[in-house]
Amino acid sequence: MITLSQRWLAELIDKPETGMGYQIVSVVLSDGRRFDQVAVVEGRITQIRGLADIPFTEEEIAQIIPTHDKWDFNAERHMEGHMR
Amino acid sequence: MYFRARHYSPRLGRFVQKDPLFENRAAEHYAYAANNPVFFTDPTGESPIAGVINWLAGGDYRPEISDTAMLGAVTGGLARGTWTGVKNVAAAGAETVKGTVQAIAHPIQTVEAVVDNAAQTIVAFQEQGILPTLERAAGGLAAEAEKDPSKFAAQFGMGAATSVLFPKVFSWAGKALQGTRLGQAVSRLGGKATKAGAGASAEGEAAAAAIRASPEGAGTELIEAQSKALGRAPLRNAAKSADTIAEGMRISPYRVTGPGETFIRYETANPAFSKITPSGGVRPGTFAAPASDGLVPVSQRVPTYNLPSPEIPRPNAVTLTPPAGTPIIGPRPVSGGLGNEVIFWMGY
Repeated sequence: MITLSQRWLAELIDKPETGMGYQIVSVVLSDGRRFDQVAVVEGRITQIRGLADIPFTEEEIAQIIPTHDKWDFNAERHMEGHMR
Repeated sequence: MYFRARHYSPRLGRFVQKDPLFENRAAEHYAYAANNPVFFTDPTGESPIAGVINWLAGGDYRPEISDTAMLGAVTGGLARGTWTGVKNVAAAGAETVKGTVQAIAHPIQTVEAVVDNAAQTIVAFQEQGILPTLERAAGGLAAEAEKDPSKFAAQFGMGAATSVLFPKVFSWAGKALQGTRLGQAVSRLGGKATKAGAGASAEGEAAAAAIRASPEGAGTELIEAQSKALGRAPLRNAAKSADTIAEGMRISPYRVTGPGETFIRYETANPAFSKITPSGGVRPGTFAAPASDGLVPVSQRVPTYNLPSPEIPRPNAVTLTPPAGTPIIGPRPVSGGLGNEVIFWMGY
């Protein structure tokens, strides 16, 4: 989980939510890598769809773009449970 | 993904070229649908105007046709040349549309509360004496909706977007703008908007085809009729349009709240991230759950809301009672959760 700094919070708080209390965004890193379907809750990046961990730090983030590209969170959580 | 006027990157969620109609709007050059895809659509890449048509019907009714059908109808309507009415205000783009809609929903009383650039637009509307015209138009729409909601919804989808309400509302605004500085700017860009409209027919056909092919099935008759009215054969780029719809660009059902209607908002425990304003309203783009949506009784609702990350629960259930007539989109099922949710896209 990554806690975002004020720079990003100020930007995100004015953008529409994707669901109650969260936003789904794309994160572009300064090295050009891009991660889609990133969940941001209360100013924290909590998960990336399909990844177990968050493979970057806040300092690497160049851009955060709300996309609202949500998925069925519970279904995938249950699927992960079966796989373990 | 080619949107006629420019290319859109589904992965980035942005256009990769500037909006040709609004080159002086630096902050929104690359945004899709004014960063509000829940409400707006942007079928040509030039203006998030089409989705607004839905909401302009206002009134206390819920359309019985599907949201995708509405998209097809509106897009198809554009194909029939409604830009002749739209072009008068197209230059003012998203600001004008947002301002127009907000003006209709909450006329002069809420001017101070209007968000972002829409506030400036409404002030401009006041200065130009346009607000009374818009209010009359809104009143007429609502009255028609009350008389026979389902019939009105069908007519709206079929005809309003093409030849009745849309040109009327916007041509009134256009006439009021004539001779003003804003009007002159509109005239300069009107040609561009007209060209965009002239090229929109394929988009409309594709949207209609995609809706016919959609598993939801709703709105099929409407779209069939729309296609028939257009005199077009079906639709070679249906696949492209289906992709577009699948990527979440659909217009959702919309309505306005009734008197005393309540909603539940699971708020963060951290006030820094609260969407509730000091005056007790909510910020634009805030989600909440209808207190009675027919799916999950209030008494059976979860005590806390923890999507999408269970480790960050929102335990504070706050009851919201927006003023009657507050525009919302939804209800629709919560993705990965229980019950329904709505979005207060303009806040209140």
